[in-house]
Amino acid sequence: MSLPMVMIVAPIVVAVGTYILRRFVWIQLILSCTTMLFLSLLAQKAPIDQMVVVFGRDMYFGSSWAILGRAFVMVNHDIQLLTFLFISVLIFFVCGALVSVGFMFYPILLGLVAIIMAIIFVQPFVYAALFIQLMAVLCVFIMTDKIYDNIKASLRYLSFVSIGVPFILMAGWQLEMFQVTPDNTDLLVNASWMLGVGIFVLLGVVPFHTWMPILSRRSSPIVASFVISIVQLAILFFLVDILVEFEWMRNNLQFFSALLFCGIFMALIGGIFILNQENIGNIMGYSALIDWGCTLVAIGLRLPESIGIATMIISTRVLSLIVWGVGVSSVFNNDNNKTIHNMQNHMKSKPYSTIAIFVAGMSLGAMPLFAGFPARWALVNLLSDNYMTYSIIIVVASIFIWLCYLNLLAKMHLRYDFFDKNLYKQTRENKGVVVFSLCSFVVIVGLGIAPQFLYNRVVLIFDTLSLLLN
Amino acid sequence: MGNIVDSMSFVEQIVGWSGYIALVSVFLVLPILVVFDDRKILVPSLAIMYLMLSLLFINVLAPQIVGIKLVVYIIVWLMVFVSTQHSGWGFSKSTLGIKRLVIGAKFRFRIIAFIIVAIVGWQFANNGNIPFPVVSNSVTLVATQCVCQGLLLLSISRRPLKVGFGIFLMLNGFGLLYSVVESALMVVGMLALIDISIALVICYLELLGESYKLGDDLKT
Repeated sequence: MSLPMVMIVAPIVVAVGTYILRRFVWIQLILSCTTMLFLSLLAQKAPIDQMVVVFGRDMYFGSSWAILGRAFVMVNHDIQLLTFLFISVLIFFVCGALVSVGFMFYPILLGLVAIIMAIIFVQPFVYAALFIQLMAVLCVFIMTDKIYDNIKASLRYLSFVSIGVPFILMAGWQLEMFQVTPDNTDLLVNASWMLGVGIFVLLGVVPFHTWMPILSRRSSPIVASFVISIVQLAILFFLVDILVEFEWMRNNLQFFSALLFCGIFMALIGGIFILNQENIGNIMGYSALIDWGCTLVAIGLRLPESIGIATMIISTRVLSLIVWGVGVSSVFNNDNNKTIHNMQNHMKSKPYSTIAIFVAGMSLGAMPLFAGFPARWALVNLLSDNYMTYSIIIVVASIFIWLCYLNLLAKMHLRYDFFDKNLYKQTRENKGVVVFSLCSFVVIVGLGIAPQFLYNRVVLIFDTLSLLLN
Repeated sequence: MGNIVDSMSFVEQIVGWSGYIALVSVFLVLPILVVFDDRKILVPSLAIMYLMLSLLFINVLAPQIVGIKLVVYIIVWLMVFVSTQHSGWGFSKSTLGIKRLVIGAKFRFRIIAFIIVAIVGWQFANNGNIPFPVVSNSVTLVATQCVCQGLLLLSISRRPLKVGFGIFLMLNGFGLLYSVVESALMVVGMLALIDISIALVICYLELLGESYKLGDDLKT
């Protein structure tokens, strides 16, 4: 049995099944969650390229799957990454059940998981570009639907991905040429700048970020959270795979400098634009832009410890965005008008979800005592050694996010007293959302106080890269 | 035997003429795709564009693979045609037009933008700045024009159909250059799959866009 085959084919098969059973949301949920649990167990426990006895039968878990002359290869350093991905998607599935998601949510998310697997496994890497394009196409079907029918974000996202993909294909061709003529180092230079441009466009580096705030403003909150956290993460996995695979790319200091600069630029632009936002979706979009900028800065520093910080930023972002998605979905309940004024109207009946939004926002903005803070603070400390201006930009951008959420909190508090017990007794939220909001509050604040609990686990995701940079 | 020789010479004849015919046709169709918004003009123009691109692909790919590409183009065009049939052939008030011999500002802007981008594309093709081997000047020129005009369409269009045309133009222009260096069936197949999937998503957005007031969307 080939592990990559199982990890690619299983989600596709279940996606078809969940589409057929689209009237039965609970069956969709159970099937999807079971698949993710099975795949995460497989990723963790299956011994790669070894014969084992399962239920009295000999089974061989192969690491590669050849199809149409191309190979999908799973390596040891993918295990932690895959586990993180499967568990994150599993949480998204559960959260999807808490809020009202469309019937296409489960099939498309499963399809996206299969494509992300293909992006991670495919060899040579150039073919990942084609899967990235397919991933963007599939995303459009959940980004825009009958309820959230704004097409602007989908069109922009599709356009930017279509612009980025040819650069990666060209880089792949330059690398093939280099294998034929190893003396011609110009080919490597060309390949690295083409890869760089392609990845920057795909990662939504400014000015290719514009789809992000529009998506968070006008699409389903849980979908926006998924696309910004998990789908974009696939591009980062692709980048990390390239850095692990190619020594010349790892040693290209200009590329890392570009990553650093682009990250700072994202934080700067996000910080400037977030200040005058009156829409909770826009605030999240720009907060996520700043957070993505910090991730790029952490990788751009090219230090073993900064890679660990990057993984911490990524994992807290996924957590924060999940909580934000559930909170906003619950408060607005398919209302596309996510303005602060409208939120004030909804807050009385949804106090727990409102708290979840604040907690997630503060974590995304790296407020002290919240989950996002420790990694951001560690990054600022690392940056301040050599790049004091950059560290100031990140701190100021973070403060701007806090100001936004504190402003929101003040406006809500002026309308309804947060400390009034009756507010919580009169809630119209379902029990699942109430429990989720309280749990997320405990988890996010807990991780803000004791970050090592998460850090020790997620640091292994990009462990190979940090070892190689050592 | 005579038939085979005849068919071979026919293919050679097509290859010989394809460059010039396609070059002229593409240069006639491209401004239509960029400047106009009327679907009655756009959809047939896309068909001509695809036909000419297939003709150009004969220069860089085996005729059998070009046949596959042509089939894909037909599928894509049919999808666009059917979705347009559903969403309506007319164009809204906001689109440009020439009324009483007065050319609208949008129309003038698009013509000027087209000319500027055409010059940029021509410079790219002539200066040898493209990191791909040159099969023939006509192929390179058409490919660079398609990529540049596709990017222009992406930047100035807001409607799904025209954005889709921009993506098609850009990817097919790039495909024309890329096929010279990577003619593997797997890559051709994947690019074809991408073409079809983008057509599918564009048709989906076009139909969805028509179901509510597009004007509200454009204002925000």
